[in-house]
Amino acid sequence: MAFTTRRSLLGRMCEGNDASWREFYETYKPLILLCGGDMRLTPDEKDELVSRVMCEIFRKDIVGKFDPDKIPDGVVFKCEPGKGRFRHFMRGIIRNQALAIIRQRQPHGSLDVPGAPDPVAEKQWEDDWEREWQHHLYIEALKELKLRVDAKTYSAFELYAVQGRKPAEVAQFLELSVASVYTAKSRCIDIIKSIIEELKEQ
Amino acid sequence: MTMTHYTREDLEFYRSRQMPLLRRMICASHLKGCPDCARLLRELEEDDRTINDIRSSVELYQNLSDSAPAVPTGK
Repeated sequence: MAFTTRRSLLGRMCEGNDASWREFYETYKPLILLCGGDMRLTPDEKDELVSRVMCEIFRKDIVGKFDPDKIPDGVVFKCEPGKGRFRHFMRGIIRNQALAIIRQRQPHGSLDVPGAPDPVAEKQWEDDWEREWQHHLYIEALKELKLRVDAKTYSAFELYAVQGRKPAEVAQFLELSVASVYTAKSRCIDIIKSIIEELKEQ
Repeated sequence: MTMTHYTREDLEFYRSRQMPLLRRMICASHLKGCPDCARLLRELEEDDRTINDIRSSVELYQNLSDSAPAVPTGK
């Protein structure tokens, strides 16, 4: 399940496993890019933001602070219920690094751009972050769903719900009844909701 | 008299108009007087919203990966 997967990933990262860092990079890069877009960074600046955030995580050994070996089974990163520690770290690092990029493009490190919308407004950032994090959770939940259901159930869900194909078409393709396609959808939605709740605790 | 409730699958057929007309009319009448089945129907509508959110996220991430440069090697 997700907890085990993440725990394992972070554990391997702590050991300096290159493939794990790559997996981490692939998982969080889209989130960072989207946040950079919300803060109105240019494409080059967004790429710089990804590099800065990854370097910062490595430099500060933030992953290491979770010390996966000391976390009991079934409990991962749980600091305060509903207030994920890792999420909190990521949010802070992305925000700080984006602000640093904005500062370096302004004379004397100013964050003010005359006539431009305020890219650093805290309230706006909160809303943007929540939205981007929700996207991230859905993507992670889909990955996790794939591990928790059989291949046919996942395919039925993906084709019908995610890709928006007609239930009869999906049923014929997968050699199922239309009712089974609907059953697969309902089951997968329930599991996704449950995964999202688990991920929110991290 | 035992009241027969509709399953999620039945209600999917009902709301997607795949149910025969007569059965549809009976189902519509039943839904007016059965809070359990009406709740189930609302849950399906709520699932639709979740699905829309998931689709948006998938689309967003697909667009990002389509425009993303290659992943750097090493850390």
